[in-house]
Amino acid sequence: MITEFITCGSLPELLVTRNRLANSCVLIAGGTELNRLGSPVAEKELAYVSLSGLGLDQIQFKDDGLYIGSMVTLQQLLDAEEDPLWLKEAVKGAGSRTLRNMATIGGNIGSFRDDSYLLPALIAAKARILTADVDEQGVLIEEDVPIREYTEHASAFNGSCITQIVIKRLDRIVLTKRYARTVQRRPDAIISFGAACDGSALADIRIAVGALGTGVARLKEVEEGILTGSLTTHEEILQVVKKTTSVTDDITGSAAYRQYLVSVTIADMLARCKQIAEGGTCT
Amino acid sequence: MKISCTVNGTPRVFHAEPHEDVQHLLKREGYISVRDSDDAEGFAGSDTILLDGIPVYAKLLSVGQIQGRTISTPESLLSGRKLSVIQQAMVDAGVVQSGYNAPAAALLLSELLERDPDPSEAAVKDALSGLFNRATGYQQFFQAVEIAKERMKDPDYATEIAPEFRDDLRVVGKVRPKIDGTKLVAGWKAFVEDMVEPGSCTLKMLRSPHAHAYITDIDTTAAQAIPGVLAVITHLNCPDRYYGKAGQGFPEPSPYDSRMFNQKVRHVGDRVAAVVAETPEIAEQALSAIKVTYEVLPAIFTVDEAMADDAPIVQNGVVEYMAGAPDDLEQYNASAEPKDGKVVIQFPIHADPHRNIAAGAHGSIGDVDQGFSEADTVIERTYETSQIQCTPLETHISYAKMDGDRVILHASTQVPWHLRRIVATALGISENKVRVIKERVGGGYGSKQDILLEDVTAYASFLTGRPVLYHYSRKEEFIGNSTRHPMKITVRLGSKKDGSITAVYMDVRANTGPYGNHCLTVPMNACSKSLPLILCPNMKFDVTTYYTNIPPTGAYQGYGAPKGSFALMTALGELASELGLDLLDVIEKNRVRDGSLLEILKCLGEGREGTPAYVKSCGLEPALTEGANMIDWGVKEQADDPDVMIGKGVAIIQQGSGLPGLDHSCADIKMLADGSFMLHSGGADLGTGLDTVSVKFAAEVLCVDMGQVSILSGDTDNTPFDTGAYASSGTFFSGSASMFAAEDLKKEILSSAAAILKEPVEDLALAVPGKVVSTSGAELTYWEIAQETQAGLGRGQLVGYASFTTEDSAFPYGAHFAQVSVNRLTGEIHVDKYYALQDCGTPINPELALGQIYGGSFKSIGHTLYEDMMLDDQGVCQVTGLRDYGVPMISELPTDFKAVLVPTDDPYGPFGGKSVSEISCNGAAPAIANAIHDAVGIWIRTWPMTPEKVLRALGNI
Repeated sequence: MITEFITCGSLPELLVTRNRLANSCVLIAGGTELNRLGSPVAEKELAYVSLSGLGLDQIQFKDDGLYIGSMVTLQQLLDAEEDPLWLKEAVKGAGSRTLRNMATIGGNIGSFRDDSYLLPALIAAKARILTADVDEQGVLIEEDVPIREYTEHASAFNGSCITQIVIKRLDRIVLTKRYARTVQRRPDAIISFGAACDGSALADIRIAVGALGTGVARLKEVEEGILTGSLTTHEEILQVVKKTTSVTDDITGSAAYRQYLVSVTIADMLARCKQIAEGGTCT
Repeated sequence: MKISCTVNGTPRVFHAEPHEDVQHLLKREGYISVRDSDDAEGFAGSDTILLDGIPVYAKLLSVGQIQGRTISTPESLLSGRKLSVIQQAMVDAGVVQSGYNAPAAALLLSELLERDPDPSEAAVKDALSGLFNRATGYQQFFQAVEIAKERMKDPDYATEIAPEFRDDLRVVGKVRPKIDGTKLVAGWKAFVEDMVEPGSCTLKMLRSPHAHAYITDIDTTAAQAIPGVLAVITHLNCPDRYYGKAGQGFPEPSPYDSRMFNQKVRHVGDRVAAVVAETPEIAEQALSAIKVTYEVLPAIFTVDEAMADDAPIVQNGVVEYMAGAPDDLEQYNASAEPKDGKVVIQFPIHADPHRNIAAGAHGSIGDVDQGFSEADTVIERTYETSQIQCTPLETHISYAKMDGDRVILHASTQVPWHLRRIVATALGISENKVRVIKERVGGGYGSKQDILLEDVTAYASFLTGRPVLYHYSRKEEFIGNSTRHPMKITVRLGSKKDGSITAVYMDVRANTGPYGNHCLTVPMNACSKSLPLILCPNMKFDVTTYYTNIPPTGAYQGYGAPKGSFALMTALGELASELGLDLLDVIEKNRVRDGSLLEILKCLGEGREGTPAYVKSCGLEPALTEGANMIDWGVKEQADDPDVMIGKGVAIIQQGSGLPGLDHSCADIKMLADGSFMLHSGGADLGTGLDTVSVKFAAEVLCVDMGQVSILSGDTDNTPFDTGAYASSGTFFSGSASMFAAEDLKKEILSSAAAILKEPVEDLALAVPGKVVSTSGAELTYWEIAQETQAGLGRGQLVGYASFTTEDSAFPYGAHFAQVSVNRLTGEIHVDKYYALQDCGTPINPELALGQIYGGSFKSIGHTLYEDMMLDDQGVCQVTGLRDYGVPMISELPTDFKAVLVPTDDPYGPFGGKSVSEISCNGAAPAIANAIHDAVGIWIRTWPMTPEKVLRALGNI
């Protein structure tokens, strides 16, 4: 239950407030996670500290990449001309425009949902997260964190204030597939595949999966197997997926079904990425 | 906290608690069009508002988020009482039916047209992607936007909205705005929730966490001690009466197998205790203060488990019969467990509760064994259908208050008179002490035929003397609402090599769950609405319904027919495949035709002796011909993706038009002092346009514009009796009553005119616009007649009355065609084309009929492919919201979706009309199953047909 709704005039003021209230507050972006039915904070008495009005809703191209403010809504991402197509495709996983008008990129990342619309794609893209804090003197401290580190150590970043998402490697190939019985139903699986082109070969592969019940995670063994050439078919990939993921049956389907989907999709994406690389259309 | 914002152009200051959400705030401040269908799931969109011009879900906003912002609600679209262009276009296109979230849809489309005056279909889909619309599907929204966008350029723009029928009639068969369309799309007071007075109490229900258990102790002391708690009702203090909750005609074929509260709980979510309190918060607090001790029993969830020799018995109480008790009843009851209560059976229904059998039916024509022995090929297949939620946008709601010693019940119901009878029975009072006022119904689809909460709401008000509101949460819908019965149906077909069917056998095993609502009639309907589609002299069926511990079942649009049609029509596809014949040829060789005698119906009387019936009108021939042309039947399509295979399927379907011999509708109509008319119909319009049908009939008969006829319906104090809106009875029964009431008044008008003009009545006729003309050339306007008859020495107000019953049937028919793409690698299924061609006789409201077909077809596409109430091994429903349950949204629309009206002229239907809505649910499952087989060569015999099932059938996993 919300005990107080606090708005702040600046980012440092927000961070000072957040630190002062500590565990009795939560940062609110769009509110679609905190205010929804079954929200993880529904049973707690918390002050809401709002990220609105702090200028975090801008998308900017800079010399070293694309900077997306954490309060940018999913619909803004879809509408923005600057965004790469793969990001727009991932955003479309949020099938409701009304929801996209409210949900923010920062909120989607910060809520660490297993079925996050964006995290798998951002991991595959090797995006980075900028977070902010203040020291005891109220001086702003910013940290630049690889998104893989952010997700792998989620508990360490829980409650952190995301200010921007940065995509520096805009030349990476990123493919995402979200399987769901209906567009808006809980997905059966989300698979994102990212790679860089090294000439006509693939390099620096990142594969992330979501909605398997274990949080968004990288499939490092599959990445390595593909890079070393030991995994080429979906049957081979399936063996590694089965060994390295602990999936349970749930309302979206059996573990066997979802592991099959993951492997067959990775095999398909690998083939498509190779085609792109060989065709020299990476950039 | 204080919130300053601008709402609909007016600066406002609100005082709110920080935890209040914006939908709640706006609603309490009088913006009643901002409704709630999903308890903040952020899915259904009934709570849509514009925040700084952008659509958002108000329920997902905390009040702090609107500080200093600008809000627009659907109320902002109106100019006085005048609808906006898009609102009017929605009404004209026929997309406003139950209308619960029509205001939200109008707001979304208004915002779309503001930012894109010439939107594509994709843009319309995108704009409505966050809005759930169960009643009509979404197809007609595209037309509404087209109309609006043209009218924004040219206010006089006109187009053909739907085909019109019957050149000999003025309003019947013509496109006319639904008479309550304006009220619904504007968001004015219409629904039960809009009638709740300040200071009303709240009722909340404590529900069972166990699927099967005895309540061994219940302590409500602490709950009752909480200030603001007015009553706590349990099995210990509720009325000791057993009554039916199925909302069927008396005597019901459904057993009375529960009281208001029972000592035994029979499903997760069963009633344990009701708290009546001053506020919802106090009621919630009191619920958590009730201490309950359970003796947990083993539970069963499937028909197979219920059939087992050592199965736990769900209804092990004393069995009583009101008529036709078996001779060995005393011996039968020797093993009864008193804590289980009673099962009161109105008349024999082949029930054997102590073996978990709630009801049964068996029958045959011809010689089935002989038929199978004559066959060249015999196939036997078993199909299973799943438990399906009705998911009305307006969750179940009831508001009761006392007027002296009378209970006044504002209800969202399909059966006002059954509701009055059942509430009176439950409370132990006579029916004159109960008044039911049916408000607009925000989606029923069958679930508002059952009495799910009105009994306890009425009793709470009766007990406390206070007005009491009980409004289901969405979660309660999933555990406390009636659903589609799961069924396991085995079909055996015998056939000659040329596809001529020699014998048909259907074995229907239905799962009624904890109570026997519709336990005989829904499963029988699986046979009675499918077997007559096939002309075969040898047919047999066995129907058995079992009690289990799943959430309750009951009526759902289509009743048993979607299940029976799925089994029989898919089996027909399997037979055609086995014989190497084209399915359409096999259908054509065996199908019902104009003039056919449906002999099997003599065995399918739904609790009474049935009657064979002749088919007096059947539009299957044109429907099949046109549908086959539309979908290029016989042409194999190729997809660009080599992993994707395309297939086509078809199914023929039928329903009834009410229950001849059982249903009964009445209406009266009065001439008012200025010659206009007031029609009182017992019919319960649940959004489908029944009131519009009734007004059209009266206007047609009386030669006036529809605007000269107003209607009041479904008010048990002020309108005459009607059995209710179920079994596709609206147009045929309630409509006929209105038509015949108008005919009766017509006689009165002519008789009065004859007296005034002093001319023979035979020389007089009614004429447009509202006058009597004589062959002599004399004329009298209705105004003149009214003035004369209602004058001091007049003969009195002219009133017409009719009571309509019949033994005659008017069967609607249809042919549904589907084309699907199936990905062999991923199992994904996409419906590329869906064509629903339906014969509803004369389409009385063509545009609304199309909406019904789109809505019913799309619902059943959802049942076939997506929707899934999953129970765990303890009987706990794993989905509690619309999103994970998998209701289809606009994103799931078939790429090419068409509803086509195939007119016939039925001699029994009013103005040739037949029913249209329910039948629409019967075609998708078999048409899609046949199409999937055509695509990838596999048969999916269970709902939902998921990608995982496809992959398993293909051997990929």
